[in-house]
Amino acid sequence: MLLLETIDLTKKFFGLTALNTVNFHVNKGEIVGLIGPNGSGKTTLFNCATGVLPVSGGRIQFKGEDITNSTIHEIGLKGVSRTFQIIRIFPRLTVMENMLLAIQQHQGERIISSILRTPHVRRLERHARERASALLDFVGLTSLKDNLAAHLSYGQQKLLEFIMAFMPNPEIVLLDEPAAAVNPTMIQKMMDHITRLNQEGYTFCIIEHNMDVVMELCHRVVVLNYGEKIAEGKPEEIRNNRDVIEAYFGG
Amino acid sequence: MSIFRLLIFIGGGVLLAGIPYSVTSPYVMHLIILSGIYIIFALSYDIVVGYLGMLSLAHPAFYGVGAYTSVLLVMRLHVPFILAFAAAGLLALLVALIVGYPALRLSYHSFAIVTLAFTLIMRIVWINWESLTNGPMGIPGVPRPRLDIPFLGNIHIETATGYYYFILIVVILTCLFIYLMVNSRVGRALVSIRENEVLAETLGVNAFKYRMIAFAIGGFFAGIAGSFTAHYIAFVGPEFTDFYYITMLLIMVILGGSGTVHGVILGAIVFTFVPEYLRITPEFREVIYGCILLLTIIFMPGGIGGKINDMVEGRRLKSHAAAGNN
Repeated sequence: MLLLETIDLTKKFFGLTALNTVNFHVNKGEIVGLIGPNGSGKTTLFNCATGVLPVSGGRIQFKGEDITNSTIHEIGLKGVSRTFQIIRIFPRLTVMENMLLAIQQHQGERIISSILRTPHVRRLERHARERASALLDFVGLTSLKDNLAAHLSYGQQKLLEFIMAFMPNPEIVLLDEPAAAVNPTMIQKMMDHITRLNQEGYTFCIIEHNMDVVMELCHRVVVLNYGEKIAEGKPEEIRNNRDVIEAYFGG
Repeated sequence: MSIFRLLIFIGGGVLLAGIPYSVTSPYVMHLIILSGIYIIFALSYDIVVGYLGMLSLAHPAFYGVGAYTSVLLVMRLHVPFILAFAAAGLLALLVALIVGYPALRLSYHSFAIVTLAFTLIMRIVWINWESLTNGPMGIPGVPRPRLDIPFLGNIHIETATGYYYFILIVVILTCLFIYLMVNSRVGRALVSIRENEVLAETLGVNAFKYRMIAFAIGGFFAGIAGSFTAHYIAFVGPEFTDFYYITMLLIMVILGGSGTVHGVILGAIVFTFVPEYLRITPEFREVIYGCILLLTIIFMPGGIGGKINDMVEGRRLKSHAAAGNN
């Protein structure tokens, strides 16, 4: 089943074309790798797909619905979770509060009953805490749940940002360089987590520069260069693709 | 622990209820009532500046809107005070929504400028709409509040004790509401927008909507603070929308600790009493305020409330480490 799809997606920053008529899709249950040299438009594609940047042309669809002009929170509430290239968490909130924030809007807004703490809201909050505890346990952050996120190490913050994305039980998770700037042990951990979560049914789209990670994890790889899709296929096909090698190492 | 808390609440309640009987100086009583007003005013400001993280300069305007609304309703249309009091808050809330709708879409700095412009405009309106506001003279002789409460009958607030109990109830209700709000999911969403708007939006928080809510609630409580002040000092005039209030609110909120309820309450009380006892001229007061603000931002950016929070957090971490859990 088709989850996320871009049709002729184009993004121009003034004169620069960051994305040029890119057709890209992710099916349910897949792990799709999005690779390409620096500045090839990978993160721009994520930003367009999540509403952070307005598109210049083309369309974006999620589960057959047009989301080209949807706002960031609308897209988030439809079930698109993401992480960022530079970690984004709430440093002055505790780990648990970070986790709870990731699900509360998905449980419905309910401004007045939230302030009055109706039994219904308390039940939702309890459910959120249980889910957060389970997920924190899964990545091994349970003992830090009451610490301020700012007091976590870089690797722990990266894990927190990663696991926050799963709080609302998302349809698709977009990961922007999950293995960047962390030690090899942590990379292995992250890969294990992604594999496990994929087996549980979560769909992934991953931007990654570490080729070992991409080759091992991804079912399908899409290569961007100067904002254009230059290749798409199974990891082993991509590894031997002349255009890709040229793009990465220069002709 | 809960019995301990209950005792604190009961003890605090008895203490607060007993104040009019133990304070003999009318001047001190006046300052206590004034600090009640400023607690409401400062907390309403902290929702916008502390929790939302937007520098609003529109608060004196909401204060003025609230004051004029209830005075005009009571004096011209003979509306019962308690209804006029509520209407003052609601109209200030409505005005906040109207100003906020365009202003809250702007960047941090532009928002500050637009709200500043609004305050200046409202002051000009009070001065020039003479048929309604009596111009720069203001409206003197505002009647003392009369509360028509079902089953309890008519209560005339005439003495300082009466004003004290009335403002005490309003302060308690305000603190309760704001405490509940900032510690609810709504408060959490507000803080998330302040901390990282893009991430908050990604997690499904409609930042604009929450900004509107916070700004409107801030306007509401500023409005009722203005209304009570007018009925307490029996006067309303353009000076209700004076820029002086911005410095006063900022010092209360920042020194008290922006984004904390207890800190701001403390800041409001301290900065009602300190200037009165220092007996300084208004011009020199501004200079001292400026110095205190600067020193606070440099040496204690979290304010008193932030310091208290840090101490609590430090003790928690220590006990955590001692228990060998960390």
